[in-house]
Amino acid sequence: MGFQALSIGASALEAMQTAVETVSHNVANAATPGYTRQVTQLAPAYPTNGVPGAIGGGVTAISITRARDALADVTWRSEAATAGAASARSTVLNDAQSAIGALSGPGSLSGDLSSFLSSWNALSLNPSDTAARSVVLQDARQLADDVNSASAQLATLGDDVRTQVSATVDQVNQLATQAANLNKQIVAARNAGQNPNDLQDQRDNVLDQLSQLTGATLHANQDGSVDVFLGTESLVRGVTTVPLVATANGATLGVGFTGGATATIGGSLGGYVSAANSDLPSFSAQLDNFASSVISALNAAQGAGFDLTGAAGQPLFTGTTAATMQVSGAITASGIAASATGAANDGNNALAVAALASTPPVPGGQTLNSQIAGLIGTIGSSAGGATATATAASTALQSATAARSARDGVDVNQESVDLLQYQQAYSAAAQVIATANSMLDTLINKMGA
Amino acid sequence: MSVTSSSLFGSLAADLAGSNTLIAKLQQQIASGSRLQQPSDDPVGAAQAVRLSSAQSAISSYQASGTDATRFLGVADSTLGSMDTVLQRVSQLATSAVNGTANATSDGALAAEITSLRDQLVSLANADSGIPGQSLFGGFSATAVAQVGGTWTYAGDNGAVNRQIDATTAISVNDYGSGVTGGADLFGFTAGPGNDVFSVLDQLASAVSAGNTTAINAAQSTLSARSGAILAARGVVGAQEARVTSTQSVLAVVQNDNAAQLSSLQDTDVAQAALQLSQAQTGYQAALSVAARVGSLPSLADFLR
Repeated sequence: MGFQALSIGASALEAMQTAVETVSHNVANAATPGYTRQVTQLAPAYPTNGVPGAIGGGVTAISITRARDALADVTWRSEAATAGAASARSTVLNDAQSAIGALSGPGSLSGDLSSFLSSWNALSLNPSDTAARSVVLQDARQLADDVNSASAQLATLGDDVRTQVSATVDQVNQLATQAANLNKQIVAARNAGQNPNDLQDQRDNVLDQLSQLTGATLHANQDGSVDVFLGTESLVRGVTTVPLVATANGATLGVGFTGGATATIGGSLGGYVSAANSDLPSFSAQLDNFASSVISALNAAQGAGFDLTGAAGQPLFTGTTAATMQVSGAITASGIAASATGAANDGNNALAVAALASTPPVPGGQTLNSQIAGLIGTIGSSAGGATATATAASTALQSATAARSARDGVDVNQESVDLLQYQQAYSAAAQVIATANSMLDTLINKMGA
Repeated sequence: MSVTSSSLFGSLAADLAGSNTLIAKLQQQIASGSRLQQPSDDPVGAAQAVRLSSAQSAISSYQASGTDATRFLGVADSTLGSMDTVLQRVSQLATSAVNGTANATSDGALAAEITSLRDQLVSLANADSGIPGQSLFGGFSATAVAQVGGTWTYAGDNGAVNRQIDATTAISVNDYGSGVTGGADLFGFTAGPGNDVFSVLDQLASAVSAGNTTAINAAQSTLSARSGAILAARGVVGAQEARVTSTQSVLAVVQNDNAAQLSSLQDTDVAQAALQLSQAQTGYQAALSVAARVGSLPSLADFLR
């Protein structure tokens, strides 16, 4: 018979050493983001057949694997895509709120409109007073300025979102390239019979970011590579990538694949695109409606009246939109059409303009102020809704993160227990070798005499 | 479920950030005194606040109009009062001309006084409301009465000086009854040539001067109709003043209600916010102390020697 106890003991020393190395790698990476706890897979070594039967050959460390929970990844990535989209949209909408400025009081759209209409009422009390006319003109300029500024801020915000989208597209393309490179390294390592655990952690980090940015779906292949899909088309397939490109069709923003294939975009990128394509234009349209209502109501009122000299009133505003609304350069204080008959002391046309404070410019329509209130209500409820969604999504993502790191992460106490276990097994194996050695010593040295 | 380093410290950071955000929001609400920092804080409330602010501004306009209407009506009332005094004096003079022991000298003096009273009446008719050019009785014209080619004519128009005293009510402050604004009707210019109050005074003066009792009586009867119109106009003006006053008091009530509603929409309930702030601070401190303890928690490794 061969004396196997020595080699069995030696196999245990080797295996326990590997296991302790894995534990120390885990403890070292306890705080590394995206690190997955690794486990040494121990198995009995192949037995030797003999009499009275097969005798075990000791222990081998067959592999070191990641304790990765695939389901936790799927949950996390889906929550991350939702949270990414919600947070991007809520960021844009909260910025849009500041574009329309204060809610009421001087400098707000509503406050400016109220002052403007009040100054028409004041003019109706003393229609030939030049000072009262100047106030009307000044308030008209103030209103136009603030409408212009709100419009410009919304436009700037749209540009910012466009820049953000194109920066995000670049980031996604870089991440896709990284994922493809990691696919290549992982497949090569696996083909060489290795478990590329740390490369896989790196790739999972990249895939996490891609999910959060685009809402991508993933497909794992047999060879160890992972494909990344945006809808039915792939962003990463094995080692190749198809880059994304941001397109602009007029004011409509789009993100598609280079080469023209359609990409289904979610995540932060999707949130930005949807804010730029549906939310901001709807705010701008409401602001434009308000501006055009003011312009057409005031110009019609001017046309229905007569100025201080008795001449027919000329248009007060030029332009048709919030961006182009301006007080006409041809209008002076005496050009304000306060009179309904041409008489200088007639303030009835000014009174008709002042009535716009409570009557809609178009019968059955909304008052000018209600249009502002409507715009504020729309922006407020969009932003409020987006913020609530983002908060809920971020809470869900937090719990998904906690759940995932509880499964995949390193619990220092658990590692200490494992360390104890391996240490004791190591000591015991050393004791086995010592005992076997003593047995051999007995056999060799004590029998020959 | 095992507790790993990343899950433990990750949730600590999120909890601390959450408490901090709440504290910042409450501090801002208390410091600014405004609960509505952004429309999204309360979208419905924000839209309502915009409507209420605009309504408040409109009410201020109506109040300004009402105050101006009261001023105009007050001037009109006292001017009509003076006209009434003038016509009463004319009536006394005419009566004494008929009844008195008449002679040519006294008749001439009476006639001269009547003519002077007529001039006074003309000047009252051409009075403005206190704002130059804004005639009481001339509509949009600066003057109401003028003598053209020896004939008294109405120099005004029917322009209605309107004041919007609330959202639905505009009143004509120069409406003196009979549904026509200005003084054409009031002074009798619409009653046919020679029937206006100024021509009648001229006729009366010449009748008194001539001692023509029949003509005096005829003129006096026309004059009493004009006098009646002026008294009626004072009644109309008084009714308008009362209407403005009652509208103003309704506006004041609405204004107070709106202000209270605006305040409940916009203003921070300081007591409540302070309470929430102190709760949030307690929570934050607890989270901080937990974080500090978690950081110094020993692990099993500390006990393995």
